[in-house]
Amino acid sequence: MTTLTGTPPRVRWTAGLIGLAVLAVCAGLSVAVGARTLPPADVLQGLAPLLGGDGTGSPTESIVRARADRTVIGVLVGVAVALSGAAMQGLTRNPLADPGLLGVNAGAALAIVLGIQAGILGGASGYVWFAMLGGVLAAAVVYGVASLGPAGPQPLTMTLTGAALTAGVTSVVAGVLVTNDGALEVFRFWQVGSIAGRSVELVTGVAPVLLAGLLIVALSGPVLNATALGEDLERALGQRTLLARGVVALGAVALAASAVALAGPIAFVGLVVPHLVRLVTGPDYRRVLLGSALVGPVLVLATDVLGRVVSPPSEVQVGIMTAVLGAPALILLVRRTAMR
Amino acid sequence: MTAVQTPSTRHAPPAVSGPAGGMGPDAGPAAPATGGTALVAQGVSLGYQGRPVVEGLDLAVPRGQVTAVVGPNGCGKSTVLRGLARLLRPTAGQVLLDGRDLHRMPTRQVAREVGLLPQSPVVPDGITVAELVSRGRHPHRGLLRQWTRDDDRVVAEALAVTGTEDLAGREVDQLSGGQRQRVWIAMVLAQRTGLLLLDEPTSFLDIAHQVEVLDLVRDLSTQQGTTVVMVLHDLAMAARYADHLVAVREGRIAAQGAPRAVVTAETVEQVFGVRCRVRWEEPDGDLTVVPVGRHRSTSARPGAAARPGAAATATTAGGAS
Amino acid sequence: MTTLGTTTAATRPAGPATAPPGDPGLPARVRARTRRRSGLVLTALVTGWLAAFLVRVLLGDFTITVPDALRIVTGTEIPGASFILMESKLPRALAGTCAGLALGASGATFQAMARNPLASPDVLGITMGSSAAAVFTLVVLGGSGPAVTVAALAGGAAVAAAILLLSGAAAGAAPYRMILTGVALAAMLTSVVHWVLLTADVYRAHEAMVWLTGSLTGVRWAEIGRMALVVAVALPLLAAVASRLRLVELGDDLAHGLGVPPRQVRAQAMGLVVVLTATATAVCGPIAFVAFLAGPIARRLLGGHTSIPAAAVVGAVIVVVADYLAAYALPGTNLPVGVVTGLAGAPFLLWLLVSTRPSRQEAA
Ligand SMILES: Nc1ncnc2c1ncn2[C@@H]1O[C@H](COP(=O)(O)OP(=O)(O)O)[C@@H](O)[C@H]1O
Ligand SMILES: [Mg+2]
Repeated sequence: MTTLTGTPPRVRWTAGLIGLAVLAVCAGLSVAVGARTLPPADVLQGLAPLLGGDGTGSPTESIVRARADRTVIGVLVGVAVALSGAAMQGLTRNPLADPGLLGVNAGAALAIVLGIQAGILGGASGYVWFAMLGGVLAAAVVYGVASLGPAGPQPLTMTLTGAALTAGVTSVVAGVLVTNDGALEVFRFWQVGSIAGRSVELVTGVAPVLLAGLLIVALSGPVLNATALGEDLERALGQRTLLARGVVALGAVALAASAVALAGPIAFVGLVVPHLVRLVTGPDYRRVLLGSALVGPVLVLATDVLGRVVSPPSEVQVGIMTAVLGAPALILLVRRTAMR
Repeated sequence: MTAVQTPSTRHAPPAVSGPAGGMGPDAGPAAPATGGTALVAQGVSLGYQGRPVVEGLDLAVPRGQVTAVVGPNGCGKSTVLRGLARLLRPTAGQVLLDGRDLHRMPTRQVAREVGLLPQSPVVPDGITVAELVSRGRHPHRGLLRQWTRDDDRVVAEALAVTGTEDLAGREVDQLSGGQRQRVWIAMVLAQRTGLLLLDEPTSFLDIAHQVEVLDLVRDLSTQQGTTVVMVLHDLAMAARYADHLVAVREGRIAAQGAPRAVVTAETVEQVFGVRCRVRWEEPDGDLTVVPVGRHRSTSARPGAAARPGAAATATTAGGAS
Repeated sequence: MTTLGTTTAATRPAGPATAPPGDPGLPARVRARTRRRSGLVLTALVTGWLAAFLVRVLLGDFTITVPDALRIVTGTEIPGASFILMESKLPRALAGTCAGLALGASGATFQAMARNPLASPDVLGITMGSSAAAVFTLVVLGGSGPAVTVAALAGGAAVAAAILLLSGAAAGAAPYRMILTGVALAAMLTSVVHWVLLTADVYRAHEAMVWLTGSLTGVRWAEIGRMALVVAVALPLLAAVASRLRLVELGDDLAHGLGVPPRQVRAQAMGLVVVLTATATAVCGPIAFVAFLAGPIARRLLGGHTSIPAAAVVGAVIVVVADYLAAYALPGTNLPVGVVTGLAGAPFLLWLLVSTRPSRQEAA
């Protein structure tokens, strides 16, 4: 009821520009703020070698370099998670859908725990591949099982199958963790979700999947809009989107898997961001996707920066920050809007 | 969400006249005074979260008669009904049930005297018709008073009256819209109250089922003396079946009284914002409401040329009565 | 004009409708059929639970004969057997029964209250509230035993109150709001738990992890007594509330019209749910899926009829059987019961899914 559905284009453009500006500010803060907060001059100086200039090899430079990596990963994860969430919500017509919905996060967690258990997990780059593989496999299983039903892969069946798989997998993970302290030691750091300490090289491994997902989901607006009308109306309008929806689902899963591979499970961003965006853009998915791609990274970077300063000298992981801040946001949203 | 005053012609159906024939207590101007009033609202204001929706409502529901509440979407018809059923506490004024302040009465007592069928009741999963209708007996049960043969009899009667006996063992969520509506009415009937408040009992029903439900309402009123207040969308139906008509517009009563007095071209335009030709068929009192709308084509038809005069006479006749 | 009716207009006899007597036997017969089926199913369930209980107590990798068991319970000391029966098998079976009853009943109540078959204290974060408070007490404050119980109760109650207040459910808001609010709180608390696990030393983290998975290992008799007392008091109260909750299921307005104040009923039901869930969670940890599945399974068995007692017994059967499997399925390991309920719950959920009629998707 309170959505600004009828916002004139000028307002939307202004909102978009403000969003871009906020993103730039967040990125700047993400490079500057931390255990040692740097003044703008140092930041610029530290960024010089990254932009092709000459480095001086100072310690400031390595700090800036690490934070720049972290910022890049934060942006990518933010975009991926928010877009994936928006697409999943559209596909399943379920306002509660998030990237973990189709079992992606659970699959990733299981793969990592099993990898640790088998002792074949080599460092952070190993995580990425295991998480990716586990996430995609889990989504494939969910999709496959959901298609067994009489009416094919329906939104509700997919959601429920995803929930079932998540629950089952979580139990296996718990079973491993309670019998293997070594696995628990590693896993408890992974499961909170963090973008700290990852080198930007990780991105190259994920890049093909991430890019494919981005491309698909970015173009999925019309399909999601048609889906929003419901099966019957969609058919009446002559849209045959079953195949298209399958492809979009694939894209959403690719994004979710990339994100979980890079940062572990980041709670709430995928769930809340599309709702926030809809307040400004209205229900048109082409705009919701665009807005989500902007607001997602803003949220990830902002909460990450906040996590660095709330309890110095230690940091609170971004996954925890997003959950702690995201929950009140969602509750506020629920209270204000009349979404169904 | 819905505009308070929709300038569309949807509410007043194009040229549907009430079914002809039959006894018509609504033919002459009904005199509410004879039976007294069952329910009275005095200066009642109602609202949600501090936002007023209905203000200064003065309403007298004649006992043993059928009162219909009409008005555009979102004007507050349901809100009025909810106020009369004690679901909303008035921010001002009071509602009297047989002279007693409704909001001072024990909940269960009210439930034994006032039956309410809300606009959108929820069908629980897997419930059978018999089970649903028997839930209407709740106000008559107590900690010690368990289910009796008497309850069974009342439920069976409610099913019989609404013609849903054959459905007793079926699951409610597998019924058609018309069947389901009759089952809901059966549930309220099983409550055995002298006063029934029905919110849009005929929505989603085709014309045959509408007539069926409204005939049932009429029967209840004439044969069992039940007082009925119902929200209806269809003006012609309301005029045909009600003894007393209440037109609501933006939370206020625009007109009330006998259908003849209320349904005039002026009130229809005032309440619904649609220009109409209103024609009362003498002598049996059926009503035709033809929306003029924005399209002049209808009045350009040869037959229609003679009508303005007829409509005018009907209007004056209605206004005079 | 809408044309929705597909039935013929005249199902009603054409004669005058002067309150025809009707056949009082007809609805009575329909109701009796339902009641008979309920009785049968409940009897079968209780029998099933008894069988599971006996198997859990007598069999396993240490078999105890019935006469031996009777003698031990009445005070005779049998070396080896006494210890295993009185310190492991019997307490676990009893704790599993109590926890299962509590979780099954509260899950079914919750589903009726939220008018959504997918709602449960797990999904809505009440269990997570208990867990977060308990883990915090366990790990950060170093508490144990009764302190954890109290913390779990307080945590569950806090989340329940927060859901009611924040979602406006206390003021009669739509159930979906309640669900969304609960889900949000659950996710937030989950990450709080993760964070506590992260900052703890690995020994404490392990302890908390076992507890979080839901385990009957090492339950003490005092805890069982407490749980049994709560279940014995709360279940009958819940059954009393349930009869009014059935009317709230028809929608708030209609419930009002039938003389049942929905807010009050919801608050009472919620209070009992919290007490039951939190008590069980405090003793056994959040045993996955029991609250979630007991209601739907019971309903399926009863042919689509909601029954809180049946759901309670289903819960008890699930936990006792799962605990037997957890203890003996993998030789040499003693898994927490929650691992098994979680694993077994997944296919059950799928089964429910496949056998659910597609028309059941709730629109609002
Ligand atoms: N539960 C509610 N909370 C807040 N506002 C409401 C509620 N129910 C109805 N309203 C508002 O009250 C007004 C009148 O609604 P209603 O009585 O349902 O209209 P009608 O039944 O005539 O279509 C509308 O503006 C509607 O938005
Ligand atoms: Mg209404």
